[in-house]
Amino acid sequence: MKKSLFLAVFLLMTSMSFANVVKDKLYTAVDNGAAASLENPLDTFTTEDSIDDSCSASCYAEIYYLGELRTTVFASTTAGDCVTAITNCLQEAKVKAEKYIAAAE
Amino acid sequence: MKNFYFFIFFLSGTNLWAQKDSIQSITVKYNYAVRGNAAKNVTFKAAYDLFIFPDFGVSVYDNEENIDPKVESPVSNSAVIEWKPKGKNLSTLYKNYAGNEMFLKNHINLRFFVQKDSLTIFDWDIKQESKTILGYNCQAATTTFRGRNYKAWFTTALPVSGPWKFDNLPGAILEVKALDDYVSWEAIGIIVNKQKPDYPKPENPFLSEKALSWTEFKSLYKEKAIAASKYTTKDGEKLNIVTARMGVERYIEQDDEDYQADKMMKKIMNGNK
Repeated sequence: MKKSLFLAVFLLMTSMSFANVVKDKLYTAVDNGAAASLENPLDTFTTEDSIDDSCSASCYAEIYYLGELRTTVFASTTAGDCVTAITNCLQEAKVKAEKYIAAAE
Repeated sequence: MKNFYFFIFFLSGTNLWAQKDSIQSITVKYNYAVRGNAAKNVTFKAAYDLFIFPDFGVSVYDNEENIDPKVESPVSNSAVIEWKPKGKNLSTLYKNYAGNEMFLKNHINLRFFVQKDSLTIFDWDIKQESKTILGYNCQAATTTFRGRNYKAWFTTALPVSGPWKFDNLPGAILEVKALDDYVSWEAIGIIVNKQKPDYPKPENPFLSEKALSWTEFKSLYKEKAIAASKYTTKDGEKLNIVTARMGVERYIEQDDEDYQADKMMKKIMNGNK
């Protein structure tokens, strides 16, 4: 009985740890996906900070002219989870960049 | 002394005769590539033509109209935005050898200004190394120009000229590469033609606009970069704009203490990790 209980608790704890690893990997994968396309002079494309039930993300959009990076527009958002926060952040950065282009032209 | 004047007269007479006979035009076609970010994985490729008119002492460098530039990015991502402004002569660079000057349009925070430079801004170190490009025997030369180190290949068989701002070697520059692989120009075709004697001299398309010297351009670039970092929309929204310190040329020195927006944003981004 003791052995079975120990095994059950052990399995439960292992699967929880595994779930956490999977969860972390999911966020990392999204982050790396975005970063891989751009790499950048600021070392990171998106950053996220998960506090309680919300997640804050910082990111930026890059404006290129004839292949040269000319302007970077930063944004930050908060959402219930990090995937949504990053997606929203990228969208917001893009909208801000387009606003800036429209205003400058 | 008489002999000297006769020699000058003979030279100018020969020159006049040559101008009346035909006008020489040389077209050098270049492949241009720029890897526009730190990881060099956003690559822009375009085709440019350099039209050289030795009889007029001018050259015109411009993008090839029929070939669309291409941006190659390994992953499509909405956060990479290509700015495609409309306007005349945005990719043109005009060189006037007699006046030792060149003109082009360059932008500061998405607004274009005519920028003027001297043709002798390059301090080349000519090497012994040689190779053949498109049948022309070329010699190597290296230089450091506004933040980057370059290696160029030039031929004395063609008149003094070069792609974009590059110039001031004893012949035509057929290849230039930044040693950090950021940017390159490679000649892929050369056409030498004789035009009719009444062929018109290409006019400088920038003469009607005020031209900024490189010093004035750099100063305005920094001023606008600082202003952009504080930019807010009409609704009061702060956009957090960071202007690049350099592209092919360095606009703001790395140790410049007046412009700190990029360093501050880097700190903020790293602080959020």
